[in-house]
Amino acid sequence: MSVKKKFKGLSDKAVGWLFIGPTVLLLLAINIYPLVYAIKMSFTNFYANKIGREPQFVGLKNYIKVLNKEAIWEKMQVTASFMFWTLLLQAIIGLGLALLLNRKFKGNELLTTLIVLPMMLSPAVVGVFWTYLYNPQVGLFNYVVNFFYDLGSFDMIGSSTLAPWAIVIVDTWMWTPFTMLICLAGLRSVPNYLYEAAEVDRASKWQQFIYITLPSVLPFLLLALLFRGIENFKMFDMVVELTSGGPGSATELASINLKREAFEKWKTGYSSAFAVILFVTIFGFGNVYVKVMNKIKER
Amino acid sequence: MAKVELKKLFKTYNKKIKALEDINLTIEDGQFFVLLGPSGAGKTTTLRCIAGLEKIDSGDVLFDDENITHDQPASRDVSFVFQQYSLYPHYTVYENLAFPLRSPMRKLPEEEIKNKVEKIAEMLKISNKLKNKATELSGGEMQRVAIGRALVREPNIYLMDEPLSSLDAKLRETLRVELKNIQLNLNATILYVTHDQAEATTLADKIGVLKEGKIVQIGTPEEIYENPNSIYVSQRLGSPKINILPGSLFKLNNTAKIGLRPENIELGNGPYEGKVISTENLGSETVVAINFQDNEILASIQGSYKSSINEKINFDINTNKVLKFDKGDQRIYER
Repeated sequence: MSVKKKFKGLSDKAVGWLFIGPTVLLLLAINIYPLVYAIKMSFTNFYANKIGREPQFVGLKNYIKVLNKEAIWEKMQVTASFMFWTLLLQAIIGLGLALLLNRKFKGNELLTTLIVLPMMLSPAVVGVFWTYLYNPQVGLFNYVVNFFYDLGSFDMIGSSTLAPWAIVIVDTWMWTPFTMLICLAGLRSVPNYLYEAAEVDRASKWQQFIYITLPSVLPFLLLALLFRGIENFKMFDMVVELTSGGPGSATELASINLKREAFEKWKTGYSSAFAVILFVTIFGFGNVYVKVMNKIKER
Repeated sequence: MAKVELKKLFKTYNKKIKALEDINLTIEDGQFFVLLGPSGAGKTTTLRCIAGLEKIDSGDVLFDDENITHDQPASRDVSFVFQQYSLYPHYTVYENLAFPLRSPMRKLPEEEIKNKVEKIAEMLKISNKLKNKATELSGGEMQRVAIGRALVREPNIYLMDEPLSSLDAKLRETLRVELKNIQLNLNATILYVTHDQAEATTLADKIGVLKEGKIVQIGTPEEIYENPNSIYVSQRLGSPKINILPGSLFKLNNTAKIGLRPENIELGNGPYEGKVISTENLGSETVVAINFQDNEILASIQGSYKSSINEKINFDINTNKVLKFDKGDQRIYER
């Protein structure tokens, strides 16, 4: 007691605040404040390029405009299909790779590091160099495809039917390692004696997978997909570098469309409303998803 | 059920650590065989070699005279109770118990599975827990389920690796009795591993004593207790533990050491005089520690025994029951 009294330091609570304070301030400044500001702007007819003009309150007009615009629903569809295919492929390939890497073999660690490399690159850089890979004349991608199956000349980025697949392939190439890593963590958490018990209980390899591996790894996989889902809903940099939303608007994701409305057409009020709608959508989906995920975890 | 034989079994881990050395033993059909030894003696390794979970270096494993040394675990058809509760955590008790019956090598109709699971659940008194998830059980219930999962089918042999060691004393006693009854009812062949002497003596038809990867003696619990072939074996059974004393203490010729069970010492009168160090009343018996010529001797007396510390005490020993050992701690047998 006497020793304690000599030092009049900060209380535990104060130290706690001291540690998280800077982060909280930073979050307030660059996340929360812009959000609140955007919500406020979404109810006005503000144009950021018209300096000096006082924005006027227009009520829900911007929201009605966004939701009634057919083009918006097209962008949403492009985004949804992009998300569906990337998440599906990343789940299957990521889990598959994790299962392979979970076995013990020589060079296991090195291979894991190599597979993880794409994830460490900048998305914009990935976008740029895949434009070279996809080049119909000199690109490696077309060469490899034609090596196995002669499709003749085709342009992944130039064709409006192939371009959506082009961005799905690049995103899968880049982010499958992420699902793989998290699945691998899940697989490593399964105690070996469960497999031994199953083996003695004469379970087939398939039964072992269904009864032991899958239920153990599923919560991990779902968590990885949640992260990937949120990221891909707002996917921007990689696709802009690769296709800039084209050809036409074949790969124009919601976020790309939003950037065009906000910073090319300068419809700040309108695009604020769009941004808020996107935010609410992803927030809602995210919450439902987390609830479902927790249910599965409890099972 | 089958007769299980191990012949000249050798096993090393990482090519260096000797786990098993020349293990030879036969477990007869319907026999309850207990492997007894401290941790690291090779008990679990022996079980795992029989189950096929470990590859052996050399030697043979025979089930009913058939050599299955190189068979996969699944084709050996053994059941295994692991020391940890190795239940499938994402499934209910029912699913856990039904799991071995769902093996593609068995293909039982669902109706039969249900009957068997319910029967075994009743036997182990977990019928009311069938719908619970495996992770929602207490330790004792989990281990019952683990035992149930082994008993639900009729394999060649039941292998049990200290199945009761993680339970509290009371539950351990109850399950021990149940396990013996179940074994008698099913006429099951069981190889049971433990370091607990009470389990060994109450359950076993035969005990094999392991020491550093070798079997040092095989016999009935009575033989192991009354006729151990070395000091090591004599110390495995008996509570309070056997007194190991220098042979010179009681003027015995050609004897390096003697083993004297606490119950073979009579207190009150006799030619030897010592001092009481402590007394411990265990209810049905009292353990008296005596200092005799700077050796501590434990004596156990029926009922309670009153004496105070440092009090002088006379005692006698039952010379017929004295176990004599040579310099190498091996038993000297008298002709």
